[in-house]
Amino acid sequence: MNTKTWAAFAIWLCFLGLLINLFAFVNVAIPFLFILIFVIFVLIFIVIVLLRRTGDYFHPVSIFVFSFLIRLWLPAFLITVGVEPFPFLGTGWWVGDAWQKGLILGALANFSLVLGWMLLPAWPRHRTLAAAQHEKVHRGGVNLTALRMAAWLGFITGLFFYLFFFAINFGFLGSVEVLLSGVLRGGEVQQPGTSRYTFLAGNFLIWSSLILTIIMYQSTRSLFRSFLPPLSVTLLYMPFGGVLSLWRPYSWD
Amino acid sequence: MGVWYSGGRIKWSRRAILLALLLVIVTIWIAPGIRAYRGGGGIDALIKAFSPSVVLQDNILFWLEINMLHSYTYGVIFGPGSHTVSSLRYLFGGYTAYFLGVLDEVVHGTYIVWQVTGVQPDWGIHTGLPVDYYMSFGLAPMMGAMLLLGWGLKVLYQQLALPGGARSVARQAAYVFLFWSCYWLVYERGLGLLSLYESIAFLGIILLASKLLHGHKIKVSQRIASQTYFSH
Repeated sequence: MNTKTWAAFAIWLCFLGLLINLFAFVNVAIPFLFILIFVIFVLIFIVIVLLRRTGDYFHPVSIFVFSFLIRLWLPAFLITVGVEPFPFLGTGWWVGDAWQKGLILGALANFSLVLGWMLLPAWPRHRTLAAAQHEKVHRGGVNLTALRMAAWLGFITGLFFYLFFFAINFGFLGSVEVLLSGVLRGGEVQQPGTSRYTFLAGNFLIWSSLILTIIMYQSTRSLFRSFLPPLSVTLLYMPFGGVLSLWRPYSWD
Repeated sequence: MGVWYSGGRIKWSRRAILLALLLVIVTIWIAPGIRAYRGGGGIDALIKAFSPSVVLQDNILFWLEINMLHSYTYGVIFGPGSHTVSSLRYLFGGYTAYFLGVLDEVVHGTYIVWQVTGVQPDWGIHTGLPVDYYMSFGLAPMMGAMLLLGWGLKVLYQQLALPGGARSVARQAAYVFLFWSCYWLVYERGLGLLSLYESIAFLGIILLASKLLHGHKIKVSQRIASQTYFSH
């Protein structure tokens, strides 16, 4: 079968998955184990078809599907085989069958996303690989020196706001104490209204480190050197709360 | 992701794969320690949590940070139309509450915690677009929104990330951020579109600064060139 036939088959499977999950969602009796296996089969098949077409392991759909499988499908699978989840909010949310419908809700969302990708036409124009290559060849020279300088300025500005936040809240010695104690999470110990500086610091540091990483990789092809700016930002964000603040700027939360 | 696109495709050498694996292992390894440190335990708790017994016994990371099934389960339990917020907040996110004068309005994740515990909390679980839209509008609008999101992702990908497009640093950075905003919208916070706008604003500031710096350099070089011309 050629690529188009595989894609058509993937769309058909996706529709089938959508229908089966819709039926299950409105209480048609379908064995949950069948849904569990069918959903993973269809989604992985779709990802393989898309990867074959693009050769891109960071294909957006594959990332969404992978996340679904880890964050929704895997917990559902673990509960199905008898693993008891960590109690949350003092309730056993996995008791009863609402969690099964929860998984089906997630599957319906993912099937809809995949169909949106595969069925709706690109807009405003279909950017083909050939057109992209043409643009690459005929693109005017870009002054990366100016962009690199702007990114460093952004990085320094972010660093300034970061240090300013600590200085006005805790002073120099107090900041060291707060950093060692790990009590900054949630912002209870800081003065009200000062979180705006962490907002500015975060955005400047994240954006500039991203641009610096891209420019450095283009010029040096060294992964380690390229990732030094975001690694340093990650360390800077370690004391703050929030699920993903630590992994900034990997997570770009 | 940005680095992947900037290189066309990274050649997966053994060293790169080992480096990536090491990064994943270190990330998982230190996660419990970071939570202990942030819980007020400080550096001591961070160091103690490096012990293999702590890391291997810790399954809270998976069930509370990675797992989202509980959010979807509560979404189903409460059902369509159970909770909604001001319409503009779906488009512009959290800070819109200030301008709409609805700062006391709770979002879906907070509503869930409130209903489950019976006490109004000042925090909430992350729900994501499917749960938020399902609880607000029902199944069909949620699926419609996801369909549109799939199309939006396709447009972003084809315009910004395909080879050539990815050679432009600005396009590539914009793609990484826009993609992440979409991901955040679906898997973390359905009302989080504002982070997308603020990201664009900060990218704009840096790009504008680069244009200004570039213009400054051109003016200098033109002056030097004109001096050179007249000196001859």
